[in-house]
Amino acid sequence: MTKHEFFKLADSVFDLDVSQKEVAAFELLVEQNPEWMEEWVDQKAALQAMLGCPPVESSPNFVPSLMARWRAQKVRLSLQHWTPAALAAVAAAVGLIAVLQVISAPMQSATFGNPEAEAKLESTESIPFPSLSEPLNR
Amino acid sequence: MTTAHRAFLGAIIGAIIALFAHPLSRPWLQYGLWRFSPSPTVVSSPYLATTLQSLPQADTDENISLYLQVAAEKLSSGQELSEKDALLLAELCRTAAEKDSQNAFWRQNEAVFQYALGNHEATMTAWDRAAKRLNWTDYQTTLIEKYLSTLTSESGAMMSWHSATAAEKRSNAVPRVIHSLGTTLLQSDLSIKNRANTFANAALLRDNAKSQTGSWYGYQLAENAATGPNLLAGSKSKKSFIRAEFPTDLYKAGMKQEGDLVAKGLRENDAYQALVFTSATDNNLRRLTGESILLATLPGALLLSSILCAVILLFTYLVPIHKLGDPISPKVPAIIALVVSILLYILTKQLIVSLWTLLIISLFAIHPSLSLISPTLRIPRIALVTGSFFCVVFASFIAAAAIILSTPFQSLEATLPQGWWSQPGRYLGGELLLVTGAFFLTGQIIAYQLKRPAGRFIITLARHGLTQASLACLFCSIVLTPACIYWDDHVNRDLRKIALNETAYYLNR
Repeated sequence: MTKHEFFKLADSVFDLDVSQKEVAAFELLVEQNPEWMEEWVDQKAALQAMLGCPPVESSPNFVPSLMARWRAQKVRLSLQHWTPAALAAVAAAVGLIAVLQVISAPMQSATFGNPEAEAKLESTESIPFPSLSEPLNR
Repeated sequence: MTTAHRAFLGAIIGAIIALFAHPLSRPWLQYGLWRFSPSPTVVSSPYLATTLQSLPQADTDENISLYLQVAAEKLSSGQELSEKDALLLAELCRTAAEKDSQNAFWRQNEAVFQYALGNHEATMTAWDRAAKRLNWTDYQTTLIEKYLSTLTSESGAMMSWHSATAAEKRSNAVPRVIHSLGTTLLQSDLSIKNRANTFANAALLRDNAKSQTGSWYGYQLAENAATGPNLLAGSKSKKSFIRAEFPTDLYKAGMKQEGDLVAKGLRENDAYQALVFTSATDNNLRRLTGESILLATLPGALLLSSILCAVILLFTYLVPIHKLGDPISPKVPAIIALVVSILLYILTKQLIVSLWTLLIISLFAIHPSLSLISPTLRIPRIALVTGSFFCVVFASFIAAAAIILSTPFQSLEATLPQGWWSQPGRYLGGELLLVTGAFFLTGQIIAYQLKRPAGRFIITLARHGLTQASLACLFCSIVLTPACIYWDDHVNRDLRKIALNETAYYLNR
């Protein structure tokens, strides 16, 4: 790799525009050619000075905010973090099954057969139904 | 992810597990999700004359009826019966009529096959005997109940589209053949006795055919018997006069019982015309059929759409997004656009499709001067909404394609009117290409305005939009499943009545 290509790769790495594999390759190159890295840092500093930019320094809250992120990551992986999801899953499943049972009730009623309280005719004789000529309030 | 987001995700997962676990809802997810070919029962049911592959043993009334229906289908399609077959069928009719003596169906069919054999006297005897029977049963309803039971076993639940296919598959060939024979007999013999017998046979057919078309043949034959078949082209007033005078003619000939029957039958014919043979009844069945397809397939189709959106979303995460920021030579997109559009034109012969593709891909050749002001990518809300809109429309088209390819739609396609769904590949493919192209175009325009690399911007927009579309489809599928089950039961109440006795349904509703 030439020095020019190394500088281009360093730009990409510090712009967070590369994959993990490329970062690893870059780190190996830095170990092999530390003078290239120093030259690149000098160039950047000179460029920033020319543009009137302040030198890049880590913010005073860098370490605490990093720790906060690490703690958040730990919480994200904990069981407690996913408790609302688990509760909602159970609630939704139970609610949906209840709705399905209610919906299916009228459809199942046809298969129940004859209930005990069914009214049955004891006599097989025909019933004298009232005709129109005959008043209903006999 | 906020607590509300996590709860929403959990609720969706819980609900989808419940839907697949519950035996009532599981069948509602299969059509549109993994069952796409026409139903084997609908294609080759042994209970229907229009679908059976081989004739069963002629040992029951239902099976003999199937023989007669198959023969009538053959005659209706313009084919002829061999003398041997006609003789066998006439014998079967006679044997069945001895056991089932009050069923006019056997005698009427006997007359049909005796006529096919050229036995005029035997035809008239069977026709006269049929006119004196009390009922008419072709046993199709019993067979349709068995067909529905098989279809329910196949699906795992009773669905309204089963009844819609049953209504569509009911054979009307026997009533058609009987109508044809009755009209022929009237043309050769216009005696008052033959007209009365034909009217009685027609009334039996009209009242018991159990389908609108079958009843119409009975109705029409009764009108022919009342007016005479050759008066169809005559004046309306003359026809009405002869029709109204028919009972009087019978009374004058000393046929009081027949006269009463004809007078009653003519009044019933008027009622049938007003209640059964209207355009509203045709539209009603078509509407119910459409509803039955939609209710059976919507949950599964939406679920499939959600899964496909999630799969595409996964692919967008596999794209090395960090590599899409480098400016590329304008020649590369231009050449790709040219090759793809030429290939599309060769495959589809559609000029608009290839031009649209050419435009979309070649636009990647235009690269803005990248902004150094805002290195972090912040997408405006309007861009996110537009991207989500296109993704939701894309998901809707996938759902529509799934519905069209599903088993209920494929099984009922013949009953539906012609429309864009008749050529789904052409219309839905075109719409999908249009929406995808519009998404790319919008993405490119916004990326140009923001001075961001178009490829990277579109991928980011797609990730957001596809997440929204996938979740929306999944949510709709979950919410609509119980609703579809509920409404399907309501639709099935009507469609089942139509499948088992369409005429009675329209007379009594």
